[in-house]
Amino acid sequence: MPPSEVSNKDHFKEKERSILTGFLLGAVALAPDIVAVILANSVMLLSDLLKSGSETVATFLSWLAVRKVRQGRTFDYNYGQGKLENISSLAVAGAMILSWLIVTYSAIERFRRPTPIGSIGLALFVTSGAGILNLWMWRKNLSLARAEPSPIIESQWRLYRAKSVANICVISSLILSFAFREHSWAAYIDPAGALIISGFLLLSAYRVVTDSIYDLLDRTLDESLQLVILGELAAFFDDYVALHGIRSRRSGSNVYIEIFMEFDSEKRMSEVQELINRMRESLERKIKSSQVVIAPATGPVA
Amino acid sequence: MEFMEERHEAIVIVGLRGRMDSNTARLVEEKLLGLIDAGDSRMVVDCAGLDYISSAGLRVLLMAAKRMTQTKGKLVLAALNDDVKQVFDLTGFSSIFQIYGSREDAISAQQ
Repeated sequence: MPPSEVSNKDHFKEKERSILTGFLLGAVALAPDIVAVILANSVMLLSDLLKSGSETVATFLSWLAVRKVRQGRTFDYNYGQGKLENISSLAVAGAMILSWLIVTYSAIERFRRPTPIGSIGLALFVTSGAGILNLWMWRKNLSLARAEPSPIIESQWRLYRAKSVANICVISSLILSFAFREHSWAAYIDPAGALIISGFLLLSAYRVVTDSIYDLLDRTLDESLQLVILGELAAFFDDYVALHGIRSRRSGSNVYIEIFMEFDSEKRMSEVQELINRMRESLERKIKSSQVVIAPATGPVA
Repeated sequence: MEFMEERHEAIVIVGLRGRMDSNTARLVEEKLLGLIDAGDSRMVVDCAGLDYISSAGLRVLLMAAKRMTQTKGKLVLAALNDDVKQVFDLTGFSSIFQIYGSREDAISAQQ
């Protein structure tokens, strides 16, 4: 097995392990969260619980998708695996939007009927623990995403960033609500904090949805990568007779490029093939996770 | 995007004005390749009014240069602004085109 294939497999395993760790941590944290919500009578904690629940389900879906991709990498999903990653990212975004609706509704209700919060000891303990874990998962997924861009890992680090900020909001809100509990206005701190979380959630969901939707619709490559392709065509300018078309698209973390060009008809097939191989290898070296096809053509290809 | 065409003896001078991007490149492609296919074998592309060129625009110029080579003709560029020149340098296009500082220099080179 070539070294690149081995490291690719290892990377997929690492992705899968990271997402599974996130799911298990999220699932385990749900039980104390429920108790904390009941004891504290906080709309923000309730929202946080619902948010965590939906995110945990979405993380589970992401784990299933990555597992499917790793197992079927060379057989059943030669072209579709990238889309599976995008669909999982949309599931995460769906969970975020649902959470936003719940948080916003609950916060508005609490503004209309202000209620002082109850015992916050357990909630502080649980949220602080979750905050530390979320910060750790955020950093871990961010470094994975930097090593190899992928919609799933991209959505995962954004998710943990959102969760970390949400934890900080919850802790701050609980401490402030408790410290100023003698004042009537302190009852509004809890729903105000909940609205801050909801805004952050909506922003993250928007980013994930736009990235995944464009990729699902086979958006062409970014301009910077298009310029890299053109640069290669300029470098090999004397080796082909005519350029008849370029097609490019992203699918998940993969980049697909098709170049249609005409070669000197006096050249032997073996010479053309050798030239194609050189161009393909050169371009694939310059564009990460790319698969390049150079097809001989004698007329324009739309 | 404006496309202007004039002639100086046997040389066709094409003036480009505005932005050459994915929205406008198709029009330029049709016009440039149309001129070459019609038999114009000496061409100056005057880029003095060209504010911006994207990868789609570069692709059209590359196709035109190739078509011109097939017909044993010659296509040269003139008066690229600094931004456009930077894109040419970055992609290596400066090495595949003859680029002149002014339209007059480019016409002289074609004579």
